[in-house]
Amino acid sequence: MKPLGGPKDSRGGTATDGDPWKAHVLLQLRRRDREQCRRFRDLVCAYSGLLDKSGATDWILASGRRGAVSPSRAQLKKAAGELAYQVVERQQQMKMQDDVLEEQRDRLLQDERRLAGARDLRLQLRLRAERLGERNGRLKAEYDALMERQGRAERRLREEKLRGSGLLEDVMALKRQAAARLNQRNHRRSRAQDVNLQKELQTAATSQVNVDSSLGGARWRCLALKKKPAEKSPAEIQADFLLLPFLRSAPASHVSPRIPASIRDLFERRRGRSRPAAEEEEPARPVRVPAAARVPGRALHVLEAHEQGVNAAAFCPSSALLASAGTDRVVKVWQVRAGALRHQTTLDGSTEGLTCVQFDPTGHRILAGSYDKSALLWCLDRPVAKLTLTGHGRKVTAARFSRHQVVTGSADGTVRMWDLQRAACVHLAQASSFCSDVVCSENVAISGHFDRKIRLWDTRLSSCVRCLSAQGKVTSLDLSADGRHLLSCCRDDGLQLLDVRRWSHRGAAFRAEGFKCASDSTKVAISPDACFVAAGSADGAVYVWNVSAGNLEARLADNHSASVSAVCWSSSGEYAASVDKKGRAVLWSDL
Amino acid sequence: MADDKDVLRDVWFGRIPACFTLNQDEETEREAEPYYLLLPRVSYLTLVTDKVKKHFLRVMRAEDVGEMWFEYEGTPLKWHYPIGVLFDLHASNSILPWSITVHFKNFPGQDLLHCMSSSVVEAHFMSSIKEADALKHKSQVVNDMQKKDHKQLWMGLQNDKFEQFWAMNRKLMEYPTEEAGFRYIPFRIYQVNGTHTSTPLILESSQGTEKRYQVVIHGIEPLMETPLQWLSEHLSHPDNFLHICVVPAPSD
Amino acid sequence: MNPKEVETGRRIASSRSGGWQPKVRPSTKMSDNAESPNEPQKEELHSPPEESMANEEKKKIDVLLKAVGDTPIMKTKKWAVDRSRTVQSLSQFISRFLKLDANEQLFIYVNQSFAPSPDQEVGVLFDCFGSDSKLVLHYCKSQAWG
Repeated sequence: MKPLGGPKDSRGGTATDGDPWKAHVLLQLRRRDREQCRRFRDLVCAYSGLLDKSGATDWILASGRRGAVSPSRAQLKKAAGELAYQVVERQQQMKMQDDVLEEQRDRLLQDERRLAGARDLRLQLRLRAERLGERNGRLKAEYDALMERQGRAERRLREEKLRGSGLLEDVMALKRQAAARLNQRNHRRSRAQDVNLQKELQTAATSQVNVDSSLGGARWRCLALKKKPAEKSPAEIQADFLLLPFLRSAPASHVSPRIPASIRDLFERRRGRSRPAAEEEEPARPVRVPAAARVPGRALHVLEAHEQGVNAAAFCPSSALLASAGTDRVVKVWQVRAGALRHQTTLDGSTEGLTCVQFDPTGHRILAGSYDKSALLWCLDRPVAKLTLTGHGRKVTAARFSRHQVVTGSADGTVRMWDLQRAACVHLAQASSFCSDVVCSENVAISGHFDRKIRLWDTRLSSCVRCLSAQGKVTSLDLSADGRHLLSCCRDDGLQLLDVRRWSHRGAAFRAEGFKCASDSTKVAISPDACFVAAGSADGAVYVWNVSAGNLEARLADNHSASVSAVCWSSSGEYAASVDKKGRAVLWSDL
Repeated sequence: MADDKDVLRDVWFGRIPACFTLNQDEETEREAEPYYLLLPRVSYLTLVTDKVKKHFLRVMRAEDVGEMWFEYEGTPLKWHYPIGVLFDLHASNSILPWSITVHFKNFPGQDLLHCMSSSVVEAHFMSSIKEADALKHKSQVVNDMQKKDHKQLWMGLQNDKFEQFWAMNRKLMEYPTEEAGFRYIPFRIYQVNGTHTSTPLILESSQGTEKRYQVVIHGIEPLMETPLQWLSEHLSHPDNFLHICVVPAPSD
Repeated sequence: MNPKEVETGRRIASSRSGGWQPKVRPSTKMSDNAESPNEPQKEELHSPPEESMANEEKKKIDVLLKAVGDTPIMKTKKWAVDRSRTVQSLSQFISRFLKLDANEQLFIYVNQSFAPSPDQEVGVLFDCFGSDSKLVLHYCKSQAWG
């Protein structure tokens, strides 16, 4: 009775189709039907049919009997024959049905085989579907990752755009502030000047100075001559075209060659005021005294002079001021006091960077060349340019005072002479080669060019008088105080001294191991007494050679971090200055 | 659940081929041909033998005809047992078709119940259903049914309409979801009262050695692990009882 | 060769008890007791021998007979009945007890719901439907339920 004791909690409704007992029941029921029912179904039907027929026969027989007509033997036989025939027929039918059954079995077998094939196919398809599903999944994952990356990139783009616009606004604001500051500064300056002017007017008006009473010109000259070293006789100097200047006005009774600038300024100004046409007159020129130069050995003052690179520097004739011109479009004027540089004033007005700078012989005016194809002239007391000389086709590389004129050299290959009164070009010399530097003496101008030529010009005729070959592209020229020695620097990393009178090279070029001419505009300097030459190198060092010995006197490294663009020597010989491409200026002296 | 439905169908449409022959003692006008019939297992003899009766009455005189009864190898067949039970109990191991002898006289009143019309069968059938439901649901389901619902059950059986019957019988096979099954499983066990008097306990112990008994339901032997509740739901007869026959195993 | 039927609604554990034993009892003994309706409250339809009392007690159950509708009631309602007595014999006993006509039918109902098969034994009915250690049967001259 075990089946009855089966698990009571197992309910037919919840049992899975895979239960073996259920399958067993089904299988048994099918087998039972096959054995008990189907086998007999047709037979029973056929038999019933026969029985009905025979029943009909019986009825016929019975009715025949009832009708008192004895059935004839023939009729009976006929009926029997018919029945026999029927039996045969039935048997045939059975046989046919057996055949049909067989056929159906075969078909069943075939169907089963096909079913098996179809199952296999289904399995394969399912596998393929699974693989495809996996691949889809992977692709989806990749796609999602890409989408995410795209999203991140877009977010970053938006942020960057925002930041960009923010920065743009910042820049605009800064520009506006800078403009406002500039305006304010200009305004302040002009006001300060006005105030100064008034003050000075007042003091001038109150103080009755007896300036004109003393005339010490001769004495001053004697002093100057006395001071000159013996190597050059006064006669020699006289013979040169650099003559002692005739003083229009001598500085008071004071014997010192260094007249306090303020006093002289005052003096000049008074004169200027009393005589409106002062500019037309020949500017006052202090005598050029070749002071004994000292070999720079120590950096007195190192300072970051400009925001960008400094292209040129120059001392004023009195050696009390240093002017530096930079790529940041301004000229800065520094007071040289007690071995240090102190900012005095800034001159602006150029729209591009400046290439060169020079004081006029009086030390009151400053001339500078600019990338904006012009040369600018400032008076020291006014930060705004007094004159702008325009006409060159390319940047102005050199601008020098020459008496009452100004000579400029330009990258367009021309050298121009300008009249300052008219602020117009008076002479034009075509050199047809990039002019890198110009120096001026009494009646001549000397220009250096990229075609390795140094040309001597007559400023009146504005024609090339002489021409001399150099060893390379000429980057700069410098004239000694007496005007006899011309120093040229070439791109072949050598400095050469030229005897101006003989118009020939003097000795071999100055070279040194490690010295390398950094650019096409490297500016070199000769000491006022023409005993030393100095040049800055690409490695940030300043090299000093002894002229007479021809050897390297000093190498001053460690103060510049960029290539040195220019070196200059004070006319007193006391100081030298060097500037570099990163805006730093160094003041040198021997101690 | 397709399997379960198949089981219900197979149970319902189970047929047994039978050959009815007239008892030789009966007086006939002429020799009676045997009558072959496929008997539905779940029905009752007196319900499906109208044709048999008609067939044999043709060869008999009306005055000789008493109440018809059936006998197999000397055993009167009780009409109020389902046909399948009678077959499994008495003739499961005999050669098919099942040969049944038809009697029209000497009704064995002490062995058989009288059955003068199908309404007696109906009363018996409905009583069985009610009895079963009394066990399964404390009679609640069957009492909730209307008269026509009872009629539908009966007509379903009488006319061999599977869908009609089960549309109603389904309700009788339900049970509250909070319970595991019926309160009690209605079943009847039949055993041939012959030479064997041993208790069915022997069935279990004798499995390992020689199988002396078969436990037969609807002509099949379900596996021992088949759940009883499922058996009751699917292998019950239309009267809602599980009729289980314990018969000797065939000797061969 | 009579088939023996065992009926039970109990799950199999309870139904195993003794139901499998063949019990053939002559039904004629019922008529003996039918002659004595005025016995004490608890009647025994079949008086067992004294010596086998204990054994026979187990085979007897209490049956409470109730009339339905216009059917005459029985003075004695509670009867001790042999477990193996069939419904049919019980019905015959009641008919005789009530002195019904031979053509009058008698229906017996269990639980006021169904009529048990006449060849069913009351012992099995008692096992399945008895309560309070007795089996309540309703009897009626016409069909009362279903």
